[in-house]
Amino acid sequence: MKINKNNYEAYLLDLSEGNLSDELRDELNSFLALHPDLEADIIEDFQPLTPNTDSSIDQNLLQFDSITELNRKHFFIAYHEGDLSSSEQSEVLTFISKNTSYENEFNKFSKIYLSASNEIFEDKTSLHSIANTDNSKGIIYWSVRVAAILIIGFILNNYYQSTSAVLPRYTLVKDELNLKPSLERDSEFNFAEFIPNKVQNNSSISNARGDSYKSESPTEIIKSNRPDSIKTTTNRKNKINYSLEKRKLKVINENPALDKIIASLNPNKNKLEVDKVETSPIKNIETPPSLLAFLGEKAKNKNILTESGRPNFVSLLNKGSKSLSGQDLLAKSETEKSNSTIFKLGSLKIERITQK
Amino acid sequence: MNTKEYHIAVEEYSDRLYRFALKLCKNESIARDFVQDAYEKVWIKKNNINFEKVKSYLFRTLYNGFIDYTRKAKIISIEDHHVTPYTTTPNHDINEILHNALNQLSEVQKSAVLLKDYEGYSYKEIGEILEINESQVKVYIYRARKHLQKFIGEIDAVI
Repeated sequence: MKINKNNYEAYLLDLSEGNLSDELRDELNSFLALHPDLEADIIEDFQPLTPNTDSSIDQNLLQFDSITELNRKHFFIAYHEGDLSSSEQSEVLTFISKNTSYENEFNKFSKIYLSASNEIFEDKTSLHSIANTDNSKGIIYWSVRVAAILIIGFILNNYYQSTSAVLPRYTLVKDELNLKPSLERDSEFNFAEFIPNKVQNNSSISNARGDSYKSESPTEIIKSNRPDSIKTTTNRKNKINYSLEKRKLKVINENPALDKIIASLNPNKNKLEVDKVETSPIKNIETPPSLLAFLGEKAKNKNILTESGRPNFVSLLNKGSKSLSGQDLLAKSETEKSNSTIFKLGSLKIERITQK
Repeated sequence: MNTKEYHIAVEEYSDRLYRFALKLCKNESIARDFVQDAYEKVWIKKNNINFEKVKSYLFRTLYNGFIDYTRKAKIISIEDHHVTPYTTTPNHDINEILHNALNQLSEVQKSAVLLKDYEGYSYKEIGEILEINESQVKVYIYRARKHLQKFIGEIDAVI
């Protein structure tokens, strides 16, 4: 620790007691040389001071091996402080006896000790209450904390419940979405609607989606002949196929010539297995190709329709078929989404629907 | 230190602590606050304080509180710096004279003398309270004694 103004006195005392090393003694001398203002204090404490102009302090002033006139005050104080051994105390008393002029001074140092006053700290109860308050505070302290935690938990619980109660607007549908029009309604696709000259009796015109339809139309017949098991247990896909098949049968029944055309288009297949379709459970029916798709493919093969599905007028004209001459446009309708054109092809009436 | 020992410490050391604080700050209300603060801190740290050391802990806490108070308040008493030596009638109480002389000392010196004279602490114990080494305590007390003797002056008139 470096010697400074705050601790140099301690080093002086250690020096007087012989507890200072040579290095620290040199350091102390250097410090005192740098601080001549402190010399006045040393002069005051160690009277008289020889007027030496040396840079180092007079070590005689710091000799405390035995009492001398220079260090007598130190020994007087040490005597009254009780810091001297019995031999040292005797030495002090011997010195006084030999130097009676210092006896009065020696006695003075015995008077400068403070005696305790009689003040009393009266409010001890306040000090005791520090412990008592803390003990009782514990109950209230923790009860308040527990209550606050419960209230916060209650509020958060209500908040989360209210947010979780809000059902999402959309739910994930695990099943594959069936984008096909639902046919679970009472209505059925009425093929006859697209043959306005044939199917008109007691039928109400409905839109393409087939809303409620009430008449003796083939659709009604199909519905009436349909087993109850079909109504309730079949899946949507089988329903569609079944209805298509039924439509086909009705069209064929109403247009016998169509049967021949179909037969000509598909010579390997003479007759549709209608009975099989009618009687066999829906579960066992294989999915037959739709009539229109079937006809379409055949017509393309026979160059009656183009690849895009449109009538190949050039081919029809070139065939020189009687039924192709004088082809007339029978009907034309327009909706928001499509244009419908019905024209005659022999005994057939073909409708072409063009999406807008 | 448990609660029972704390209450014992209140009964045994509160008066001494109050006298010590009163000599330092010379104000009864401030001295009471110092004592209150010291015991509150002891109570807070009671689990870490040994009952045998609670006395020195109390005095140290109070002394540090006083030092902080003086640094913040920076109270300078004219009386501390301009007290003339008493060389008058013997009717003056020597104790009062000594206390007046004590006020001229630095806070550390004054605290060391009070702890030595009032409580009978050793140099080592005083060093622990004031957080200085033992030799420095000795130096401070020795210098204080000389100052008191010088301040009193011709003490023959008092005696």
